[in-house]
Amino acid sequence: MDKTLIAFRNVWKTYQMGEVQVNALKDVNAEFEKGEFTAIIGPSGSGKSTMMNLVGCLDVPSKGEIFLKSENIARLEESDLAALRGKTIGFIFQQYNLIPGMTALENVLLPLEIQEIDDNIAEKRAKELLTLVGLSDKMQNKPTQLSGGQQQRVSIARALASNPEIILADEPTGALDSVTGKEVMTMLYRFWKENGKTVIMVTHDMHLAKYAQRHIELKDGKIVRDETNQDQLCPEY
Amino acid sequence: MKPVKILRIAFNMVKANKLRSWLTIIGVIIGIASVMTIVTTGEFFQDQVTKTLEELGGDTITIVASVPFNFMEENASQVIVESENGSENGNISGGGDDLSNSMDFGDVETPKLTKMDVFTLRRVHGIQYINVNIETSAELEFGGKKTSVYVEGVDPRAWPNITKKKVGEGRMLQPGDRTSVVISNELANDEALGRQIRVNQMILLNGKSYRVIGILAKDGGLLGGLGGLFGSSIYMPYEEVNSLSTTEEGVDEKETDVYDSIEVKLYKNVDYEATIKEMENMLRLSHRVDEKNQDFYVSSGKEEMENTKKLINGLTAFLAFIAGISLLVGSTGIANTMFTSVLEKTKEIGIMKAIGAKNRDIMLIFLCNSAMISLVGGIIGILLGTAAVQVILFLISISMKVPFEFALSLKGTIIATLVSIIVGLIAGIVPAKSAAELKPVDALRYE
Ligand SMILES: Nc1ncnc2c1ncn2[C@@H]1O[C@H](COP(=O)(O)OP(=O)(O)OP(=O)(O)O)[C@@H](O)[C@H]1O
Ligand SMILES: [Mg+2]
Repeated sequence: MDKTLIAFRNVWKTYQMGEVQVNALKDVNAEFEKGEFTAIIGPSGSGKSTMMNLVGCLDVPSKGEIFLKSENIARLEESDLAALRGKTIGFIFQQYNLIPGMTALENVLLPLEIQEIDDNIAEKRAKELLTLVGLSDKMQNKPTQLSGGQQQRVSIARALASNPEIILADEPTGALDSVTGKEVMTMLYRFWKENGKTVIMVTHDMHLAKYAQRHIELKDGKIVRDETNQDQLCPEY
Repeated sequence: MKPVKILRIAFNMVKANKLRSWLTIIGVIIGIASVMTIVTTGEFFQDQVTKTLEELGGDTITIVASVPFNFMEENASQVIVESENGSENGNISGGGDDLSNSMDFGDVETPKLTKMDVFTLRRVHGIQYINVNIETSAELEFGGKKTSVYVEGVDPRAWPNITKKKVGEGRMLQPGDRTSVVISNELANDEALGRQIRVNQMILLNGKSYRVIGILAKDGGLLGGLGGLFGSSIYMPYEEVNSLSTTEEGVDEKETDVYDSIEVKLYKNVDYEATIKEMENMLRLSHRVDEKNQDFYVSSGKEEMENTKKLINGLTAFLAFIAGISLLVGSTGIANTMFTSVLEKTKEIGIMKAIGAKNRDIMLIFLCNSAMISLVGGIIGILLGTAAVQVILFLISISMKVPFEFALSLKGTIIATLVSIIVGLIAGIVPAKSAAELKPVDALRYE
């Protein structure tokens, strides 16, 4: 079986800023295999988020092709793409991106409701996940009633709710202090290790990047380094 | 996404912005209530007018003698010819030297309707009943007190079948009645007479004695409200009117077999317009006139009724159109609110899309949101409209002295409901579509 989950083939992403064109990604080729833990690093503005958005099917390339589970995402209908995204990808954002009007539980339930999972099963799963991230007593809290670290843990629970193959995390600890950041990082690592998920994480922090197996370094929209992390850290948990 | 979940999310959106939602709802309420009020009130007026005109004899046709319309423009020779025609027929009235009859037309014959015309009309096929009317006034004496009354001579064979008046006590006139009369309810209870006139009592008219065989029922509706325009009236066989000797100055004695008007009622299923044409043609032939110098006038109540109905219909439509504008403003309110929430929810739309929501889900959420607003607005608007209609109708019925009845226009309600649904959908669709079509990346970046 083909182990390649995601493949970038000569991908360009160009933003039109009035008169000027910004090439956020320039002819990027990359493959991500099932079960890999990859860290994308690089200076600000190098195209890391752009790349993540393309992996997550939130955006389409200007040129080139992207394959997700050997499907060319450019060829998919909007609704199929949404369904694929919902089933295969779990997002963890820097700014948590929880829905403010919903409780922690409702936020975790949302992806399951979108996929029309049976209510009882969905509720059971959401509660399990929230317990797993240590928020069993905060399920009815709205995001504003939670700390940053707690909100990010809700968003991890949400990302895992539909049991996706790929977890995409764009600077998941960017808004957290180093202690909470490390906690969140440990959690992410644990899910990767225990469930064999494919994790792609964007980070500025070289220390956090050490938890990943593979490092892809971007600079000015190009991959300048792609290597296996020789000294991958393994946090104690 | 399951409909229940979409509804719940939409409902939470409405709830999350209570003030804004209510302001939008109020706009819809006002629009719908005003459309309903105007349509129902319009229909009420139409009903009332129709009823009144029918009471006045809406489906009967009245023929009166009249001076030709273009008489003044006719040249003198024509006038002479006509007067010669008249004298040839030996029909000339003795009115030549009677000032009150001759008016300004010199020796021209005054047009009139006669027994001949009744014979002519008998030959028209569509006609069921022909009644003749002779009007005069007389002095009534009862229980030693006197009052002046309006007397209408009618044909006892036809009048009970044509008139809309109903007898309250006693009976209607019958063929063969001679010195029997039917009197109006107002006259029976006339305070000037001191006491009530009862059935079978005798009254004196210009000194001649008549038996009251029937008292009419009180008029209902708008007419009753007019307080009995023809208040104290007496109906008697028309032959009798001629024998009422005149007592007052200025009231001319009625000629035998000359009528003030002829009333005609058609069979139910005949062609109304065609029969009127036929009547006019036959009368013209017998009068030896043409359309230009026609000396009679046929007025059909139905025509007037239709015209009045059309007028009210037009007026109602016009007012409903204006009310419709307020509904339109209400719907702009919905659209505005929806656009604002789409803007506000852009980031959430992005999040939902990132976790798998389809365009369709987003679209439905926003559509349900606007549907809820217009539905609540619609329901309250209809309730409020119903209440407003009752208040208005109550006030109208007080001022018109007709009994108040609960009324609700089915048409108005259906229109208002449909419009509120359509308005909600249209006002919701554009913002919902723009929300659904947001690109996930752009939506997520939105702050
Ligand atoms: N929507 C956009 N419109 C125009 N230009 C954009 C847009 N998004 C990104 N860019 C540009 O593309 C380039 C790459 O941006 P990207 O967000 O991918 O950088 P990044 O590596 O994630 O940076 P950071 O570490 O600061 O998050 C930048 O030069 C940015 O200005
Ligand atoms: Mg970024």
